[in-house]
Amino acid sequence: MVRTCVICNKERAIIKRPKTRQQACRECFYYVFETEIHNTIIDSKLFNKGDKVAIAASGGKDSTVLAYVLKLLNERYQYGIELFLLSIDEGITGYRDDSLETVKRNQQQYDLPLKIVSYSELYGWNMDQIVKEVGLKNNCTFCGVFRRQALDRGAVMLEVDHIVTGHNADDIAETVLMNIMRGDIARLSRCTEICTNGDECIRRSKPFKYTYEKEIVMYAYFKKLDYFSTECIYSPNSYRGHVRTFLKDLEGIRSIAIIDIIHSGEAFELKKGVKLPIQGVCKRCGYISSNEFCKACVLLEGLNRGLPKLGIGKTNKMLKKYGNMPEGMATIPKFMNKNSDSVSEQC
Amino acid sequence: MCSIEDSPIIFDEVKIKPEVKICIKCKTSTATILIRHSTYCKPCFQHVFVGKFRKNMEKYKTSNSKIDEKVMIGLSGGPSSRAMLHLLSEIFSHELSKKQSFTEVWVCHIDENSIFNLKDSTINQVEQIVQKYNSLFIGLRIEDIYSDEFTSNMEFGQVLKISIDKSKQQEFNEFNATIRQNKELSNKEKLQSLLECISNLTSKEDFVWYLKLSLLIQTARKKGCTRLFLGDCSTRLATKIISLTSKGRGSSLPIEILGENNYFGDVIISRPMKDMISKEIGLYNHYLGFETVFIPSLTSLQPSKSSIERLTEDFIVGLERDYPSTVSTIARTGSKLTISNSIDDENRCALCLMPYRNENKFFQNRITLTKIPSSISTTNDCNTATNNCNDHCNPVTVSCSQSCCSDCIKPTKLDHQNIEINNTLCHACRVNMRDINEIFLPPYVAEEAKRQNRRLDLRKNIEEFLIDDIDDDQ
Amino acid sequence: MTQPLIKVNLFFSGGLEILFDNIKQKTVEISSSINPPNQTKMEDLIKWIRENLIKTKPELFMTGNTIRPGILILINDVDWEVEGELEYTIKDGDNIHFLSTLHGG
Repeated sequence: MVRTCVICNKERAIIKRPKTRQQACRECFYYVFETEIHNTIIDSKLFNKGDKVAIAASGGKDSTVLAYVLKLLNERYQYGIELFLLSIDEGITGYRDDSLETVKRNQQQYDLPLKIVSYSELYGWNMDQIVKEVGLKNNCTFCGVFRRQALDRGAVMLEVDHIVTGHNADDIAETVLMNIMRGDIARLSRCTEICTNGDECIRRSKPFKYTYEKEIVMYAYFKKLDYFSTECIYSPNSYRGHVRTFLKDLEGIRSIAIIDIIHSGEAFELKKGVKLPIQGVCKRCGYISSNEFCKACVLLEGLNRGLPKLGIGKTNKMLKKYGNMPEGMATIPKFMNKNSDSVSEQC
Repeated sequence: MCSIEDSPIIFDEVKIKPEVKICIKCKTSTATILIRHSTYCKPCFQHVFVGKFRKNMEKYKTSNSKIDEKVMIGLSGGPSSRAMLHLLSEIFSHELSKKQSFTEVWVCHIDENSIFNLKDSTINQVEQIVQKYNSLFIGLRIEDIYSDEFTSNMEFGQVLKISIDKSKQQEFNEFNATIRQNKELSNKEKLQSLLECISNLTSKEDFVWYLKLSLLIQTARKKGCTRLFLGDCSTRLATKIISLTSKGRGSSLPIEILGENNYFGDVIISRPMKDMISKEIGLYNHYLGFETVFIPSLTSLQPSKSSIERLTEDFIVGLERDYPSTVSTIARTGSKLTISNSIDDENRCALCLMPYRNENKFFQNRITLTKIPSSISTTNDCNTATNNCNDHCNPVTVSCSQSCCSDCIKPTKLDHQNIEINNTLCHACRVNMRDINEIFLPPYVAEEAKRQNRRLDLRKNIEEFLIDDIDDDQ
Repeated sequence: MTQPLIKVNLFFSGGLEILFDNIKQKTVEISSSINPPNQTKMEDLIKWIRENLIKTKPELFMTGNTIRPGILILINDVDWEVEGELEYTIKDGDNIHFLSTLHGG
């Protein structure tokens, strides 16, 4: 029996849509996939005409599809934004070096300007060296903290207004669960925000907030997009692995669960009197921080002093244990925003 | 892009085997129990356990308690509520001697055996347990929720029939609902047909839980009780926090997990067992020789992936074994959440009675497209016609002329009233509705849906004079 | 060579009994050394129960080589986590309680 697409009722269905379990043909799938992202962009008023937008591009499926779809929607609906590719070279041999090749091909294919920022030039350490120093237990912490800053710094270099990342619905649902499970109230209350611009100067948003990972893979597959599909060789810790498996099982039971988790996350409200960290700037490098020093500076200090555990755990507790950070040792270049001398004055 | 965000994850609380086998409290006896990272001897364990309970009870006394309060204990007969019954009774008898607070203590048990078509009732078993304590007992059956008396005015004699025509390309959540007399089947048959018509265990569990909750609250009201004690323990609450989140119930989550809340107004819900993990309760009951009643659940003997609730329990309990801080951390996170001020408490789901946000339906349709514009205009007109009807139909008298829309042209008799239900259900209950074909919902749902419809109607009449934040945004 | 037998009193409760035909208590005799020359340990006993006593759904009793999380074990009223868990050596006359604390079966 030939199955017909339930959306157009005409063409032959070739996929079962993970999000709705509807049978759909290729064209209808493309249409709903792209339009849902467009709706998200419009409803959240993500872009203004004339915005310069950097796509955080890793060469993986999410950011490759993001670059492709944003370029397409920008032309189709005339957002009037200017797109850039921004890549971070973490320095992971056999992983990032290969995926960067993909990004360079994407640059040609989509005809977008590309900027690469490397951990080595910014921090003096690459992930291979860091893993050698700290082992495989907390390496993702280093990488995550360093990447976040590196993206902001890259964005400043590109003089863009806005960074978009390929975080998809699965990633956000996973983050909601992780934040509940580790009691991170501050992040729990903001991790479902599609766009963060309250506490930092460079807007950062997630147009794939409601887009299923599986559908991104499908889209890339049918569109034959050129992406790099190897998992990071320094894979995340086992606790997160359990959460990931749980999420996949939930999706198996009820596909809407992923959206429902995000939906729940949006509804969470904190009791009055729950203490949240106050955002300030790092005394050393000027980057946004809720502590005296930003996490990257503390982690870096730990690396440089041969105390890799310095930045793992509660910063103040660790600094007490290992001694404070001497003043005036600017190891990461001062963080400067294009509109001001330092971020602090704007934020 | 790696999805891992920038925060360190510290779980050095990975399980460590106890080396010192001395009780950490009295520091003399040999330890016989391990709770998280702490070893206890039996007497110290019991002391700490009872202490945690008392501490929570003290908190309630200072916050919301009234003098001469009548209270109700929800007793499933399972370990946690069984232990709670004993602990509460001790406090009550202690207080009575000091002439304090609680003047009447009711114990309410709901027999769920009709769900599984079991003959034996659990009521007798539970009643025998309760007889040991100086409390009044009320035994109900879950199907009693179909009886007229469990409604707000205690005599609302109508049920709500909801049907979904699966052959139509339904819009994300549009159902047909009619109000009918509550007489055609016995209550038990109504309950069983409800469960038979829900194709999915996750939804079934959800329905059963909210029927039970409504029954408990209505019973407490009937007996004039202003407080309802529920036996949710920490392990259970952690599971609920994750499962409710996964079912899209984030906005009502605090009501279902907080140690104390007065969302239901006249009936305060208290959870004095909230700080004990299920292991502690199991040990406590074992040492005191308490018998518990085995209550089968919809997922008994089913695999882990049979429902969201079940999967979550296995997930949490499994993690807790390797990371013994899992349950307490999740429970702590949950305790910091609150019901949003922005939620209008008139927006109360007719089925689960929980608050919900208004904009859900619109939002869902924007991020989950099930149609494309061309298909809407070219396919048969039934879809669009149905939509129109839903927009224009007056809940009671139906005046829709499209001939394709069969539900609308049926002549309306008094006991067959169409009712607009879509605006009276929360997001999660609407998701559940997609797993049904045709069900009868109990009178309290029909009553609440009708009440809300009246209100919506009224609102329509005065709409142009209302100043609305939402209008300002658009 | 046959090993001497030891008597063990097993108790199942908290809903666990449904895996054992609703039997809540059973005295069994098992070999003092299932894996000679090593003496019978908790690990061996759990496996033995799975192979000899369980009537249905062994996966609801065990996960991997140990007891399913959420099932408490008490050895002569002492938490098995204090007694070394799977490493505990079974003795003649031991009372061993298996107590499910799981909500959903």
